[in-house]
Amino acid sequence: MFPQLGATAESLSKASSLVFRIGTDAHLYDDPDDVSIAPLLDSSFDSEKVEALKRLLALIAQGEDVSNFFPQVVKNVASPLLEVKKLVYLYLLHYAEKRPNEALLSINCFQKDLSDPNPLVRAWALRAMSGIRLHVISPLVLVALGKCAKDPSSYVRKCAANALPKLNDLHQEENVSALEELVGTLLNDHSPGVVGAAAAAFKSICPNNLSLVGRSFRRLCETLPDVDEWGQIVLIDILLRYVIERHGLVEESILVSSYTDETSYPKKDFHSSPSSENGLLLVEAEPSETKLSASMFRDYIQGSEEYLLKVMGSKRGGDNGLKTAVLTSTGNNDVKLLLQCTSPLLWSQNSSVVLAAAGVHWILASQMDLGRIVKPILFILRSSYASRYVVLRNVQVFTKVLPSLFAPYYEDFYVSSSDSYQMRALKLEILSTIATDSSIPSILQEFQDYIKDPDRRFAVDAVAAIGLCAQKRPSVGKACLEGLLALINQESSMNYSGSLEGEAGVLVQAVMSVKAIIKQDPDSYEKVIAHLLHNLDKIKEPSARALIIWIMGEYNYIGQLIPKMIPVVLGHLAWCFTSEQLEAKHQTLNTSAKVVLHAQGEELQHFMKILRYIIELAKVDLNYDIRDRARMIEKFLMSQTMNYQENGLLNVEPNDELTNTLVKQIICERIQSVSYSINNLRLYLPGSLSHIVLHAAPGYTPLPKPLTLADMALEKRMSLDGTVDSNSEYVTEAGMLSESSTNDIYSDYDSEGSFIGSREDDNPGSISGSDYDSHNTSQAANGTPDASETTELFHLTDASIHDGITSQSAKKNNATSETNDLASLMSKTSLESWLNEQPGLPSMNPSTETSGERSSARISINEIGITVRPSVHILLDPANGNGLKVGYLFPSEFSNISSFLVCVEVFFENLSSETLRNIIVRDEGPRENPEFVSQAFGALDSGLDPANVPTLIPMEEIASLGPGEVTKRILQVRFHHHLLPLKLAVFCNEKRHPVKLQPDIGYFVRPLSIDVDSFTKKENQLRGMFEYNRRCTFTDHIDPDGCEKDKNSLNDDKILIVCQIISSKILGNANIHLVSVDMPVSLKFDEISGLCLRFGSEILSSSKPCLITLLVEGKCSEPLDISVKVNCEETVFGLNLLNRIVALLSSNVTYPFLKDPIQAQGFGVAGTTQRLQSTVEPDAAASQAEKTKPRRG
Amino acid sequence: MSTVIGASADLVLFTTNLPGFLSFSSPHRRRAGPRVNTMLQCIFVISDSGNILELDEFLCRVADIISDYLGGLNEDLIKDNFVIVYELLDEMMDNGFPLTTEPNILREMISPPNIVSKMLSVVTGKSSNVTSTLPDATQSCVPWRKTDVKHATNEVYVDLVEEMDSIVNSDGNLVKCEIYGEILVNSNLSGFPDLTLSFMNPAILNDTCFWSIGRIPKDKAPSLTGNLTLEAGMDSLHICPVFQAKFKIMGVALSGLKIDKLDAMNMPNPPYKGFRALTRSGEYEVRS
Repeated sequence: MFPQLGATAESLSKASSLVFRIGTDAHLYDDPDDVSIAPLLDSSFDSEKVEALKRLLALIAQGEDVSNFFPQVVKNVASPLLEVKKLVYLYLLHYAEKRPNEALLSINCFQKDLSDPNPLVRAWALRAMSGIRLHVISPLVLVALGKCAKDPSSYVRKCAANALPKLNDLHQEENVSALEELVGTLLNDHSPGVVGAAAAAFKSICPNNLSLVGRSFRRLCETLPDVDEWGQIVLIDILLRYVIERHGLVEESILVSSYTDETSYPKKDFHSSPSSENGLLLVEAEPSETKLSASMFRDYIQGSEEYLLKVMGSKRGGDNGLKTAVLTSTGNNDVKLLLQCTSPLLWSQNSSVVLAAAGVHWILASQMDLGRIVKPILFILRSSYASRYVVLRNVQVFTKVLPSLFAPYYEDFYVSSSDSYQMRALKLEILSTIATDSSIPSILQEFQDYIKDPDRRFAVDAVAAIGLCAQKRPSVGKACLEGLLALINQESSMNYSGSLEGEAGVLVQAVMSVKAIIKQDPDSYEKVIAHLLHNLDKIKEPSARALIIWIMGEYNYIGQLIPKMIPVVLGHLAWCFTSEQLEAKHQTLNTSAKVVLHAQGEELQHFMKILRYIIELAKVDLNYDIRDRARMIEKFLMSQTMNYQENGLLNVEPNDELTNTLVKQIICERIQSVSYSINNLRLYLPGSLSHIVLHAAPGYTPLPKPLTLADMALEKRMSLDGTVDSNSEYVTEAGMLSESSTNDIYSDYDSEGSFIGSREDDNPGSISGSDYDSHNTSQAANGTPDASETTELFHLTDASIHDGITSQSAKKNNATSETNDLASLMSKTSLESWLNEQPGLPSMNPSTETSGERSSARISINEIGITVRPSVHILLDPANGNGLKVGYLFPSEFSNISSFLVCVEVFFENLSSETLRNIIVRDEGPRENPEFVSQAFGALDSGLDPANVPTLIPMEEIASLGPGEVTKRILQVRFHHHLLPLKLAVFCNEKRHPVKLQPDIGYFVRPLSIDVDSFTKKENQLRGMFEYNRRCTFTDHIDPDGCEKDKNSLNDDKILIVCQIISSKILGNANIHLVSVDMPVSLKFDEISGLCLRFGSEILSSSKPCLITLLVEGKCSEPLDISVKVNCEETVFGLNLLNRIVALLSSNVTYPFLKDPIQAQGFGVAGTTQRLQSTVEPDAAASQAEKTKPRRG
Repeated sequence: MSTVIGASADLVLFTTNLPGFLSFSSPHRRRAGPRVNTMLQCIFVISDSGNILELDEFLCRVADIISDYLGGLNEDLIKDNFVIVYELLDEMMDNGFPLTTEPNILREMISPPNIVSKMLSVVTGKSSNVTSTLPDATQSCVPWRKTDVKHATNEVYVDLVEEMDSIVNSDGNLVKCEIYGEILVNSNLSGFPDLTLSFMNPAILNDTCFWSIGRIPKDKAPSLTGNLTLEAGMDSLHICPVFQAKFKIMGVALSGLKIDKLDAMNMPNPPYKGFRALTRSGEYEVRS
C-alpha cells in the first residue's frame, strides 16, 4: 500500500546495520586487499601492522593463499604488542607446515618469549612453538616443554600439558619417554587445571602406561571434582581403566554378575542377586538379554575370550582362588574411592561429564548403586538436541541389559513433537523394552496416539512397537490385537488417493505385528485369523494382502473355523488371481500348495482343482518368476497326486516320503522376520563415538585386560616418594635417592638446556663418577630402555684433571654454559641476515652450493685409515698400581653383543718382578658421591633416566700375569653417550686401585661407508636445526717436524700431505669413515682453499647418520682455517661431536701414532679450555653465508 | 533472505590443528534446532574415537560464547567480527582440546566489542581487544569469578524461572507433566561472599544439581482450554497435528517452590535482596 514507506524502512534498517558495523572489522573482511598489505606489515606503527594482519586473516578466512607474506609476517613475531603477537601466531600456525624453513626463523623469538615475565606471553609462545609441527625443532620444543612444565604459572603449565600431544603427533620415537615423563610430572601437579590437561596428554601419548596413574591414584581421585569439566571426562576414563587393569572387574557389577549368573544357571531368573534399591519390578530375562550381557562382557574388554573362559571355569569349577584372582569387589578401596569421587559428578553441569561418570558406575558399581545414575541421565536428556540422541543411544543399551533400571521413568521417554525421527525411534524401542505389567497400559495408550502422528514413518514404528510389546507381555496380547485389528479395519477402509506415502506402511506393519503375535500361539488366535480372512477383500494394499494370504496358508489346518473358510477363500483367490499384484500372486501360489499338502480326502480333490487352475493361470503369467514357481510346484505336487489318483490312496513310498518332506520344507519355509536386533551388534563403551556410529572408530580402545598391571613394579613405585621414582634396583643399591632428588627441582632450573657438565676429582664430597637421573618414570614399567636411551642429553666431559676445584666453580661452568643454550642455535643474527635477503628465495646451504659449482677433483686416500693407529691412553700407572700398567684404546671394531656397547681394548702389562694375580676391572659407579651428582646434574638430568648410568659388562678375570707379560682384554662398556670419565677400579692381588676411563665420543659412532652422492643427499635431509658449524685453526702441518718431512719429499703434493695430516688426525681419534676429499684445482701452488673432506658415521646406539664435513681455507704454509660442519639428527650428540673434532683439530698434538701418553693428556687440556671459551659460534651460519656470496659471483 | 545466505558456500574456515578442526559454514541445514536458531552449522572434525557428548557440549559452548560476544550468531556478525571470532576460538581450543571455556576469563582476555570500544577505535584509529595480562581467575579454583569484584551497589536478585513441559493427549488427559526450574542470580556483590539459598519446601524437588527439576501432581497443572475448528468441508482429520502452546505467568512459580531465605556470609554490609518468579511454557504439547 505504501511502497515508499517500505523503501524507507529498508534503507533505515540498512543504515542502522551500517551503524552497527562501524568500529568493527567488517571493512577489512569485505575488501581485504584494497590496500597493499606488504608496506603495512613493514610499518613502524603497531596499528598499521594490526590492520595488515587482520587483512591477512580475512584473506585466510576467505580461502586465499597468502603464504607469500610469510617472511614479513614472521618478522613481526618480535613485536611487543600482544595483539600483533596473537595475530602473527594465528597466521604462523596456519602456514608453518607449508613454509618450514621460514618458520624456523621465528624460533628464536619464541625462545625469548618463553622467558618473558608475563605468563600470557610465555603460554602463547609455547603454544605457537609447539604448534608449528616441524620435526626439526622438536628437540627445542621438548626443552621448552620441560621448562614450562615447571613454570610458576598454572596457565603456562596447562598449556605445556596441552602441547605434549602436539609433539607426540610428530611420531618421533626418541621423544616418547621424555614426553611420558613430562606427563607424569604434570599429572602430579597441584593445580587441578593442569591435571586435567595432563590427563588429556596422557591419553594421547601413553594410554596404556597406567602404572603412571597408579602412583597418584588416590590424589587424582580426590582432585577430580576440582578439575575442569573437559579434563574430568578424560580423567574419569583413565581412572576407570586403571582400576580395571589393577584390580579386575567388580564381582557385584552388572557386567560380571549378569554374565556369570547366566552361564552358571541358564534357566534361572535374571536376578538371583538382591534386587535394586527401588524395589522395582524385576523383569524376567529374555533369551536375547542373556546373549546381550555376554556380548557386553565380550565387547567391553580387550582380549576377553580367554578371560571369559577363566571366569566361567572359576564359576563352574567352584575354584574360589581363581575367581578372586580375577574379580574384585566393591569393598576394594580403590573401587570405592573412584565411585565415591565420581558420584558428585553425576550432577555436573556438563552432560558429557555426567555420562562419563555414569559409565564408571555402569561398569564398576554394584546393581544396588546403579540406581544412582538414572536420574542424572534423565536430566541430561534436556541438553542440546544432538546430545539427546547420544544419551538415548546409551540408555538404549542400559535398558537392554537391565530393563528394570529405567522402568519407573517411562514417562520421560514419551515422544514429543520436537524430537527428530531417530530420537523417536529410539524412544519407542526403549519404551517397549522397559514396559512392565503395570506401565504397559499407559504405554500402549501412548503408542496409540503415536499412530496418529503426522510422521507416518514414525507411525509405522509405533505399530511395530505395539506388536513387540504384545509379544513380550502375553497378558496384553489380546488388547493389542484388538487395537491392531481395529487399526487394520480403519486403515483398509480409508480411501487413499495413492499419493500419501507411508500410509500403506501402517497397514502392512499392522498386519505384520498381528502375524508376529499370532506366531507365538497360533491356536488361541484362530478367531483373529478368521477375522483377517474375512476382511481380505477390503484390503487392497498388495503387501498386506500377501501377508494375510501367507497367514492363511501357514495356519490352514488350525482350529475348526479356518478349514471351513479356506475352500471359499481359496476359490475366491483363484478367481481373481489375474488381477492380483505380484506379491499376492506369489503367496496365493504358495498358500494353495500348502493347503494341498495338508488336505486330505474329499477336500484334497477340491483343492487340487483349485491349485491346477491357479497353476495354469500362473504358467502364462507375464512375470517369469511366477511362471517358474508354478512349474516347480507342479513338478513337486502333481507327481504325488497322480499317484494318488491311480491307486486310490496316497502312496507313500520311502522315496516319496523323502520328496514329501523336501516339498514341505521348501514350500512351508519359515519366513524369518527381519527385525532390527541388537544382538548381532557389537557393543561399545558408553559415551564413545564408536557406540554411536556402531563400528570401531579409529582410536577406540576397549577396556584393558583386567589385572594385567604388574603388581610388583607398582608396589615398589608406590613405596617411593611422590616426586621420586626410579628404577627400583637403583634405589636399593644407591640408597641415596631421596636425598639427591628432592633438591633439584628448581635449583638448577635455568641450566636446563646446557649440555656441559663439569667434573671434579679427588674431592670425595663432590665427585661425580657418572650421570645420574632421579626422574625416571617409565623405563622399568615399559621395558623400553632402547627407546629412552636415544632421547637423552649428553654431558660433555672435561678431560683434564683439575685438583681442588670446588663445587662453586662447577656451578660457574654451568652458568657460562647457559649462554650456549640450545636455543641460541638459531640466532637472531641469522634471522636478520636471512630477512634481508629476497623473500621467497630458497635458502640454500652455502657449502653444498660451493662444492657443487666449483670444479673439483676427487681423490681417495683410503690407505690412511690403515696406517693410523688409535691412540693409547693410560688407565693405571705402574707407579700407582704396584707395577701393573694398564692402558686402553678404542679399537675400530664394535661390540657384537649389543649396539649400545662400546668396546675398549685394555692392555695389562706386568712391569714388576712378581707375578700378579686376580686382575679384574670393575665398575665403581656413582654411589659414593650423591651430593655432587644432584648438584651438577639434577636439573639437567631431570628429563633422563637413572638407568642410563654408564655400565660395564663384567670382564673376565685374569688369573695371573707373570713379570713382563702383556695381556689384552676387551671391555664392553655401555656409556649411554655420557662423556664423563667412568669410574672403575682395577683389582690386583686383592688390592683396589681406583681408575678413570675416559670415554671418547669419536668411538660412539661406527663408520658409515657411503658414496658422495648419498652423502650429499643425507646432508640435505639434515638441514636447519640439525646442522652445526664451528671454525677453528689448524696448525699441525706447519710443525717443525712436519715441515722437514715436506722438504724431504718435494715430489709430494703439499695439498695431499695436508689432507693426509688432517684425515689421519681425525681417523686416529674417531671411528669414522672418510667418504671423499675434494681437492681444489688451483693455479697457485700454495693455495689450499676449497679443500673439503667428508666423513661419514652413524651413531652406535641409534644407527642415525652423523655426517662431518671439513672445509679448509688458507695456504699450505700458513695456519689453516677449517670450518667444521656436523649434520646429525641428535642435536646434542652432534654438538658434542663437533666440539670434539674442533678440539682435536685446534689442539697442537702431533700425529696420534706417536703414542705419547703425556701429549695425549695435554690435548685433553687444550680441548677443555677451548670449550670453555665458546661452545657454539652463534653466527657461524651467517658468516658462512656471507662468505659464499662473493664466491658465487 | 535465505537465498542471500545460501549463495555463499563457506563462511569462515577455522583450522586450529589436527586433530581438532572447527569450521563454520553456512547453511545447508535442514532442521535448525531451537538452541542454535541461526543458519550456521558447526562442524568439528575428529580423527579418532572420542567422547562424542564432549564434542557436542563444546560446540554448544562455542556457539554460546560467540553469540554472547557478538549479540547473536549469524553470518554477517561473524564476518564483521572475524578477528574476535578467530581469537576466541584460538583461546578456547588448543590442539583440539578445550583450553579456556569460562566466559568470565575469556571476557577478560579478549574484550567483547561494545559501543565504547567501537567509538574509540573510530576516533583514535587503534584498538586492541587482547589483554596484556593473564586473568587471575585462570589460577584460582573458582574460575567463574574474578578475584577482585567491586560493585557500586550492594544488591542481589534471585530469579526463579520455571519451564513447564507437558503433553496433553487427545482425550484431554495430561500424559506427562514436568517442571524444569532454573535459579538465576544477578549479583552485584563485591568481594568473595558465600551465599546460601534455602527453600521453604525443598521436598518438592526431585533431582537437584546446579539446576533443579520438580514434578507436580497432575491435578495441580494449569488448565488451558481452547477450541479448534476445522475448515468447512473437512470431516475429520486422519493425521492429527500436535499443537504447541506457549504461555508465560509472571510472579508465580508453578511448582510451588518457595524460597525461604538467602544468607550472605562474608559480607561487610547486608545486601539488598530481590526475588522474582516466572513460569513459562517449555514444551507444552496438545495432541488433537
